[in-house]
Amino acid sequence: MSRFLRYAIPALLLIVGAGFVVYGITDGEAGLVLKKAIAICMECIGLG
Amino acid sequence: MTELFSESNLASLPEWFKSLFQSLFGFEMTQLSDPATLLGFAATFAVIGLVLWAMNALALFRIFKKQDIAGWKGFVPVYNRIVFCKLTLGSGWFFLLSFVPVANIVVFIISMVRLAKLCGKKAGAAIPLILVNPIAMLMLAYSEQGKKVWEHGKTIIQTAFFALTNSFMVGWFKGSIYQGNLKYICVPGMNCYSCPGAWGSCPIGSLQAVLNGFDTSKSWFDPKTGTYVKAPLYWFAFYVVGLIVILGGLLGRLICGLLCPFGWVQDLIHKIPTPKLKLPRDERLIARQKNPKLIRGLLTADKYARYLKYVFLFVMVIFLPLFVKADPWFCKYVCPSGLLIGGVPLMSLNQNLAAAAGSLTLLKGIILVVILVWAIFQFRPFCKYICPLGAIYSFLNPVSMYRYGIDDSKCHREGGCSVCAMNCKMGVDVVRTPNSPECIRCGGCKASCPHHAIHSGFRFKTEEGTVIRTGRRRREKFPDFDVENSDKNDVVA
Repeated sequence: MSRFLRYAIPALLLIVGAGFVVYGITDGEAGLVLKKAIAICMECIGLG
Repeated sequence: MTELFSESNLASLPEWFKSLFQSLFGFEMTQLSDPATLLGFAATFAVIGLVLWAMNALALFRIFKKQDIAGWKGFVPVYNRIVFCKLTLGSGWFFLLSFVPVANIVVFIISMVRLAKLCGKKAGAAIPLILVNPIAMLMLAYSEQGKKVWEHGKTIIQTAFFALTNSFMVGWFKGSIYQGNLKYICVPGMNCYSCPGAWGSCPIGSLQAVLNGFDTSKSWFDPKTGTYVKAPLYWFAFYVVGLIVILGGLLGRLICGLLCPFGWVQDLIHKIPTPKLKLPRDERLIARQKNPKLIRGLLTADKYARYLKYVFLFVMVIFLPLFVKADPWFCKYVCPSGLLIGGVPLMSLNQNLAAAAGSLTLLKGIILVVILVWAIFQFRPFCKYICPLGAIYSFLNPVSMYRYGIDDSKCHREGGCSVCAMNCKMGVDVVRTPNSPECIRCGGCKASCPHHAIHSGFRFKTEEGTVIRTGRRRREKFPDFDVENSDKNDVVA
């Protein structure tokens, strides 16, 4: 892998990731995550 | 003391402060009048302070020893800062600038750059030291000092990270969970958001939560099949995937190696002194075994079993929650981390929850026990064969910013050395594939390399003309392997 790609790919990943996060927040996904995370997840702890 | 937090006493506080407190800690200030909440609140700060102090002291202890300064000086508060200033800036008096606003930031940045250079790194290595100081200091202090020292350093980092990200002591004291706004953010590892102390969300749980959402206006009940046909609200979890891509793009599976709580648990259990499942990976070693056919068969089984984690990811985390039933399938039927760090503490602290235990608890309990017992004999079975988060990070591992690299001019592979491959507990040949999807960046190979040919980091400091290879190397025919002089006791699958 060339020196350029060595840094360009992770940089691109960070930009794409940041874009996804911003889009997700505007689309209301972050709210859904918070809603799920602040209540005890009965399935996760093995109570169904 | 608790009367201090009565409504009448708090009335004079500005509203913005009260709402900031509530969004940060997840409960109203008036609830501090409850003794358990107040105690837990105070304990939260005590734990965070203690962990940060311990991380700093242990890092300074090792750094001072490296620089021929008495290690105990790292543990003495204030004095350790004076010695550190003397080491990095030339005079202990610079410590006084820590109390001057702005100047303290400048002194901190300069001292970190000098520290990086003292430890033989480029100035750029100071960036993680500045941004994530306690963890980066520990990594710098414990690396390149042999395998045993690095093993200690790794355990300290894992323990400290778990303690910091699960330090909401109100939850631990009251058998409840954190409900503040920090849970918008996902932690990097498999850390159940129902752990009483968890400040952040589990990425896999969050991924399923988003894919589970369904549009009620478009969903309908099919009387023919007797099932509810759901129309997904989101076809793709941009927010959670974005967070995972950022973390994975920066660190790759270093997260699995150092920051995952369930990985830490497996590492601790694997330290129990028992015979370990050992699979030699080198063809010359296999040929010398009593039953080479069986070894080759086990190696093939291991190779294909590792694809199982991708099956768990695509079937239980993505396909089933999206198309079949709005359930967090992986969390519900498989995830042992949820039961261990969420279920067990909550059920032991909260009798109502304990009373609700049933067949699902039994199923998850059996899975948990099997994985924990398995982890005694084999290194990180969950990470190798099951973890869907590890599967996502494994896609990002070969292209992440944090990399492993091989200095071929120092590597003695062609002379018959295979110490790194024999010491890799994940079964990766780091010389051939330094950034293999299976490598969890635990640092075992780097710490055991007698020729210091393995590098890791965001950038590599090299002598002029030296090339650090991060890509694959073709399988070559190695000369006969010097088994007697290799550390064969540590060969594991």
